[in-house]
Amino acid sequence: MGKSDYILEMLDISKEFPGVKALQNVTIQIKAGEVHGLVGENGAGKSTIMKILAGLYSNDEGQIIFDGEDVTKKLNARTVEQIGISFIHQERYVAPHLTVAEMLFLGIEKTKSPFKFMKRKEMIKAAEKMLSEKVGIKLSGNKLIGELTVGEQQLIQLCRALMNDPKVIVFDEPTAVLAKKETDRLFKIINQLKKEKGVIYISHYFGEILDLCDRVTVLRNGMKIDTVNACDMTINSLVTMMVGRDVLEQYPAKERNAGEVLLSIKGLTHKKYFKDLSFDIHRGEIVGITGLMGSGHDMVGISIYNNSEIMAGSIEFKGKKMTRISPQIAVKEKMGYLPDDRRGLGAIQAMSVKENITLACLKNIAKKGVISEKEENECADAQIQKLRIKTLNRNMQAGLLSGGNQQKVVLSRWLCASSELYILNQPTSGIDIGARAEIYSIIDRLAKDGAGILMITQDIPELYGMSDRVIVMYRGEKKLEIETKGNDISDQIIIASMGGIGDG
Amino acid sequence: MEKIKKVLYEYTTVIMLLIIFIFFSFSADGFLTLSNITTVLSQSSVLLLVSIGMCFVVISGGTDLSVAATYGLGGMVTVLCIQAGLPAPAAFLLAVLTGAIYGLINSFLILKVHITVWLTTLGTLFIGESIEKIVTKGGTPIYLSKVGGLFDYIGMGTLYSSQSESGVVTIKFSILLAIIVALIADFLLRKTVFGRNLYAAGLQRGAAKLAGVPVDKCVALAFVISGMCCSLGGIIGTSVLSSYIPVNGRYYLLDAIGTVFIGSTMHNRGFANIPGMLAGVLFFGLLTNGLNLLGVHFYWQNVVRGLLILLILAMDAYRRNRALSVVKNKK
Amino acid sequence: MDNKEKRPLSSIVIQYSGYIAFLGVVILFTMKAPVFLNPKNISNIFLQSSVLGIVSFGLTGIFIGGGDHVIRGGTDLSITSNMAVSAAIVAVMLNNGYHLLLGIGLALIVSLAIGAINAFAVVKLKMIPLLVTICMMYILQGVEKLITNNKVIPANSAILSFIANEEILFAPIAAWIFVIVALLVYLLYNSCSYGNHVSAIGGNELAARASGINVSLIVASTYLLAGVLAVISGILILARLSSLTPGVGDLMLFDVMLVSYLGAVFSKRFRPNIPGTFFGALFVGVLTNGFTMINVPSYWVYAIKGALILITVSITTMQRRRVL
Repeated sequence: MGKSDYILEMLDISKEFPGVKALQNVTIQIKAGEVHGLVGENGAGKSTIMKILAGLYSNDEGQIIFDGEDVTKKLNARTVEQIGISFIHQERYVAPHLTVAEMLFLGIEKTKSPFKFMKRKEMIKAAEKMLSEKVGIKLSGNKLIGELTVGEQQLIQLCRALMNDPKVIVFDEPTAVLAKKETDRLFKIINQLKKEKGVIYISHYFGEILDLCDRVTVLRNGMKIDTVNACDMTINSLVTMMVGRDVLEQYPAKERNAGEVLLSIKGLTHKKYFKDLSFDIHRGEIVGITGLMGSGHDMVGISIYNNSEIMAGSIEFKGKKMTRISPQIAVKEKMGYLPDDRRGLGAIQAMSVKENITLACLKNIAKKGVISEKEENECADAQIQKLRIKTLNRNMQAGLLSGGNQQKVVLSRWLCASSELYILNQPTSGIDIGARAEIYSIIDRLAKDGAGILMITQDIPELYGMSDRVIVMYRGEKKLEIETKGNDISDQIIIASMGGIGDG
Repeated sequence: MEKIKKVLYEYTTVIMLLIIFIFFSFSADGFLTLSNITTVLSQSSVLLLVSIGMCFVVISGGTDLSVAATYGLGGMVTVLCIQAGLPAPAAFLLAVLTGAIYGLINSFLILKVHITVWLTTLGTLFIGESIEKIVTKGGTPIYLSKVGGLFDYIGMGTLYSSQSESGVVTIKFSILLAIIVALIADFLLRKTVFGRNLYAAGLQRGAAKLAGVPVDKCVALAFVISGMCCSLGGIIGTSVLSSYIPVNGRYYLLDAIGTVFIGSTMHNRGFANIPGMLAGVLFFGLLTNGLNLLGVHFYWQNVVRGLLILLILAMDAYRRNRALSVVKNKK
Repeated sequence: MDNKEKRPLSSIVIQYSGYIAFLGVVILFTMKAPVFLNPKNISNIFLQSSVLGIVSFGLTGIFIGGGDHVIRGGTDLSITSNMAVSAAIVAVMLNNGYHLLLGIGLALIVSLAIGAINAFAVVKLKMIPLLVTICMMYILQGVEKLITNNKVIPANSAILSFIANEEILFAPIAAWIFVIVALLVYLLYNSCSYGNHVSAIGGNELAARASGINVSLIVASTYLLAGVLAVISGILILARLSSLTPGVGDLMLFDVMLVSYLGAVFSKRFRPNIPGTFFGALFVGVLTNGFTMINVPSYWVYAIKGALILITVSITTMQRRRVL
């Protein structure tokens, strides 16, 4: 086998699980010096093939060649880093009470034999130096990981990966939790990295894929559709290739009419995150709110739902002044909250779909505190049908559902409770495009049926695609409030989120 | 063959219990007699009550180490009241009230002061036991002379008694009382809004809160129920012995943890539940009884008991791991 | 992003609350009984704290590596029964004429076997540590009774009395053993890379695994180490009392848990840690000793212990929620 252009080749990979052909003859080839995008719906095989690369699964057929060497048999979770392939996973693999230095050197501490005493001072200095050189941030080596922002934690993960001097780095949905500034920073780093290494970039954000990647491989239903040059593609053509059908309109047409005022916020000031915020939400309208990390936009939703950290200002809901709001009170008043931490705070993983759906409206299906099994089943079945939740049956454990379906379960919880105000925090982050479309149409329907929707998101096309009105926050203050009226106002949104024209 | 394997996996614990039951039936003389079984049942009332209390707290997401103390304090209050001349119903009421108050104290510390459950109940265990010691001036038991009436009845009263060739068949009132409490508890947990809320609060507290579940109220109620059940157990305990022996509850603490968790292995998702726990209580009772009948020395009983429970739990863990890996692979 | 915030005075006070309480209690006792600070008494305190402290180090290690979950987190309820069984083995061997070292050797083998079974169940079978170790505790309680026949057994050995009575620098060797073991365990958990690994596993097992650490091996080692420390404690019990009383393990279990949790108050990160456990054990020793000096009955100490947990731990928990 002669030396090839490619640093990593996964050739003809096949993998079968009981009853499911997860991968069929998939070939992906990565060159050193390129950023290679990997796209596909959930279930298309992206995560399976990456898990095979990471040594977590073994492939049934096919070869993996790394740097000219056949490593098919050698890959396992503990040695893959040493071989030269590093992964930046979606989950944050950090221990909050370790210091930056301890985390960075975990497993590879600088020690003095024979008892492996750690040379702490050296480690701290080296950590600070490495962070500055490899990922360009200044952090104290003694700071606790738990005190860092999510973006900083990710950079530590990246720095750690780079310390092994890998030849291939895999990024799995890195920007789902980052704001624009941090995403830009990450892209700068990736563009630096690609000069000598091969980068695999997995993401659902097609705009990013086309900006960042040189070539893109599209998977569908366990098979590779094609590998294309990014410059030859548009978002639409990429989407078409991925879903196999034309998805012209991602967002439902806005044929909604706003009714009376549902929620009225005046001069709302949070203890820490924002001040003097005022806006209204009408029945039947979708208000989108966005901003960079630190703008406070992500705390607005939860503050309406639980005002324990609010210091000043008023919240009026359905004409009633609300002095004290807790989740319990909010639910009673018919508010619903969709959290961004789906698996932790959304659906209760161990409970069944049925139990999750009815959790907020138990009073409606119970007489004198006793739950009526018949009514509960009817309620759950109705929701499963209405929202097209993909589940074996109503008693299936919610944790076994895909992310998109779990999201639907939580939405149906609020539907079941006849909520009038829906607060949605990052409703589609990390969800594949098919499920996204379904969720958008559900949200649209909710609004059409008279509910008011507050949508918190950092996905700008989604923001103005779905919202009737957009609010942009910057450093805790409302910077912009504008009607979308079907226009592409992304420029105005982005500028406002960075502080406005001519600012900072 | 596949079907048999499936059944074996699903009902591991039940099968283990059956095996043990059958084993004793054949090897121990007098085990499989009505008089023996009913005696075992009648003697299990205290453990059953303490286990019910523990079950509620485990479902709410913790473990209640202070059950030993509430058991003891319940007995202490009962005996002190009787000594002071109060009528039995009043004494019982005060004892159960003590348990309820203890539960409130636990929940206050956990919910308002935010101390973890383990440490709170560890602390209240210590404090409760020391109250027992202080009141009895160092831990001397209090013996009651002939009391009679309701006090004797609750622990020693028999509902049904008859002679049979193997011995006396008795069903004590205490076990009936305990079973009624268990049935009420089961109903609460499986069929009421409170029960559903409690499970949600214990599984994923944050998610439950956001869904509007009154988590704090439910957890507090769970502790209050636990306190009341355990003090009721204490009442029965003192009635049976006609005396109060301080700091005697730790034995029940450990067994209750055992019964509740063995019970959870019988639930398809591993939730703590009353029916499984009942089987656990029965198991403990029959195990001790069977070993006694076999003449196994008292010291060996602990060893055998521990080994058997370990085996059951290990088999259950093995089963769960296999199920989990199948699911993981599918994804 | 990285700015050194000015710490409000209240936060500093809370961080050192453990030490402040410790100091306060010592001052209180000294005022009531000046002989409290007598060097002989101080060495006595160390001696009394030694058994509790050493076995608590083992439990602390398991806590550090075990994570925070209420039910699923690492714990070992069999540790004090393990200690009792070890002591029983040594005592019986002595009484049957075997050399002390043989007895200790046998005890070590048994103890390590117990630790290995615990570790296997927790790590390989992924069972809940709480349940596994409760079962083990039952089993060991039975084993101890079998060995000792539930009677007090004498344990006479020249070496043991030497350890208990001979003094170096005011303190009996036994007390020095406590300090030396504390130092060694501290070095292991705080200065060695092993300690970093254990700490990481306790914080986020997946993160540790992703860093290439052999999680199974390290978690298993915490259980084995606890076993070794239990044996040492057992030997010290024999040394101090020249005998073994049945049931000593059961009584001590909750004290050991108290001390290991108490240790978290003494640390900057408010998690279980070795120096904290050391001070915790001394704290309990100070209380026991002091109360005896001022003639307060022992069951009051019990009550104080309970209150102690609650007060100091409420501080810990409040602090932790702030940090993380």
